[in-house]
Amino acid sequence: MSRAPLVFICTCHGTLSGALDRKTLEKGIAERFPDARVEFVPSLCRSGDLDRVSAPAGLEGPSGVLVAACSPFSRGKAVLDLAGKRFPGVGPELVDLREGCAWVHSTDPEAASAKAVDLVSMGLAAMKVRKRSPRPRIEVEQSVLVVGAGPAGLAATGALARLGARVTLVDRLARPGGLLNQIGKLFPHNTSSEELLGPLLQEIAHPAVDFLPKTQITRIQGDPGRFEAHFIRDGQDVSLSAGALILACGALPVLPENRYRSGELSGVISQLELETRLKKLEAASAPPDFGKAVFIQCLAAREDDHPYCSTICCPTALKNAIRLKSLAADVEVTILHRGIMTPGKVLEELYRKAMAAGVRFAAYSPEAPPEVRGNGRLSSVAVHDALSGRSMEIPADLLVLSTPLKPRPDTSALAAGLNVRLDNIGFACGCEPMRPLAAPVQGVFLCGAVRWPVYAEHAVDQGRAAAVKAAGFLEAGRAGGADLTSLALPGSWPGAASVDPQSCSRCGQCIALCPYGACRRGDDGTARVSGARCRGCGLCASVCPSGAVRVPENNVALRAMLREIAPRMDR
Amino acid sequence: MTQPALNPQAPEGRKEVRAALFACRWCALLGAGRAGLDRIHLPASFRVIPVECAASVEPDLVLRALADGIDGVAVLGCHLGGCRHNEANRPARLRLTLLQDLLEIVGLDRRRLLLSWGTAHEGHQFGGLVREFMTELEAMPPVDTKLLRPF
Repeated sequence: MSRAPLVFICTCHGTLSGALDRKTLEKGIAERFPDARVEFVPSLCRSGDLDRVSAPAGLEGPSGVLVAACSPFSRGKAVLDLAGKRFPGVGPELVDLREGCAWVHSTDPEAASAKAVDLVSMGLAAMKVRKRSPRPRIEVEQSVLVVGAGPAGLAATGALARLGARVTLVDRLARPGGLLNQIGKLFPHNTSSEELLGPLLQEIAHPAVDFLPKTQITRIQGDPGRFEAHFIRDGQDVSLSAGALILACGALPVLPENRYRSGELSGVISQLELETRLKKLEAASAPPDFGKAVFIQCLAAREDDHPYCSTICCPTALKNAIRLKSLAADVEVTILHRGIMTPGKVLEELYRKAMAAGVRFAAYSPEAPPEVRGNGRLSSVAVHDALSGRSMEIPADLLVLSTPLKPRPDTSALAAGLNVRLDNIGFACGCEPMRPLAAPVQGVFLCGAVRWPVYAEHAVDQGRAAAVKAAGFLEAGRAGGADLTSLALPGSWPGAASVDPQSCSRCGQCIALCPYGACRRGDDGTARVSGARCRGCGLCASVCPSGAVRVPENNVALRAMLREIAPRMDR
Repeated sequence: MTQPALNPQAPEGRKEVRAALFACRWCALLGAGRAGLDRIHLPASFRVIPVECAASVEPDLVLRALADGIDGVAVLGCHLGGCRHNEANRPARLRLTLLQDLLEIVGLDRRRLLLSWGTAHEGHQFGGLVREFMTELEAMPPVDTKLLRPF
């Protein structure tokens, strides 16, 4: 009893017969694959058509099933599903004869028919040699590690606890809250930071949450389902494992350093310092001890060292200007800016509110930055208003410098072990634009200012979104031993790479290049592939000089397909 | 096993060429499908081979194809910065660009290896690219396979 491949050619209700000649196809395929049985069916996407094909006599079932139908982006995937149900365990494959041949060559039926023979032959040749990699079973620990207890990390932790996951939250500081602890009021609704933090802190006071303060993460390694984090706590090295990770380690405020004579003149402070002062003044309901304040925006932002807009500084300046005005209406506040950035209706309203409160604005150009005057003590700021073209000198007894947020330098150490890509500035990138909160390696998620400077409210939103993603990952892992490979990329599974240690030369090219960190060095120096990380792109196989790393689905099959179209006869 | 003529009734004067197009299934394969839906008429002398990622195409495979008498090979991947496999197409581009240089060194036209990063994901883009490539190949003599003898 022999097993032969079975080819179904869909005529799409006969509409393809104009371009594809049935006799040419039958003859051509029979010449190259004499054992293949070819069936023409009117519409493979209709479930009945496959059932009507009787089991081939004398055969113990097909050795493989090739469906020649339409593109996988039309009905091809549905056709594959139906064929999979009709012939379980065979793993049918698809060849696109409609979009890929009949419809683009409809004016040249002879060439189209010859091409269709080639395409079916390529499919058959590939099917004959293609091997299947075993699906890795990924055990997923039902726990999540959240790095960073700022608003994003707190929100993620709280949401995960409510969703029933076990969460470990670590922060390098003693107090949760991150940068929010240094801020009194939040834009745009002037809520106090306690109002935002309070409920978040209540959420993490949950039995499923383990909060580790004063803990510095040093490195994270391991695979999806079981990541290992190493950290320093009370001077000791500790480690723990978790099924999924949420990186919410935030960003750092840039310091004004010595620019605009800060540190030299008294009365020159940073926006963050003003926050602290305002918090004290508001608590005591005391009037400010200064009468004329000038803010300078975009210090160290949108220039060579930090070539980006930090998003939060303009709304923060507006918010603080309004706060000053409401403490004492006679305080003069002037904001020197390079364009006020207040997108959206809520922030635009904040801008209008500041104008209504009597805050004054002047635009400066980066070529002519404001000049700070004073001797030991700040006396005035000279500026050339870029809009009116007039130069003016504004008397001031307080100068507030708005600086951007910058990436934390330790983010890169964490990112490296997890194959999280950093942009040219140093912020972490998700899989933009489709899955912005997910890192390329499964089970790793990003939220908050580690990605980009973000408002506190938005950090909370991102934290919750990342929590839902992480919970989905755990859930997929729980569902009977975790077949997580389909979570990675929708669509058919491309297989995973594997290494033949006998022929591996230990050169390490695959290890250096793997985009998911799946290729690693084993104890004997040869490469190993982590099934939980690999997504079958095949980069490792294409750089391997000794052919030791292969994607079983791919490498031999591509060669076999090429052979079918090569004209050389001695192949 | 005999090979049926690829383009048996090709109009006179038009050289029969064959080209293998490796198309990333996240990008250029969509373009190929879209070209069909849009009924864009194309010369029939190319064959599309779907791949998971452009990075999976070995330089060996390209040389082998040319040595076997295929006139041209195209590797069609996602735009740089938009790879579905975390930038895997960047090292692929470096490697295949180097291969183009090597082709030239051994005496083959570098245009026999067409690289596209994100310029074939719409039907009309795919169609334009294929048409241009085929016209270029038609103007070239058959591959001198002696130049690639080790393969």
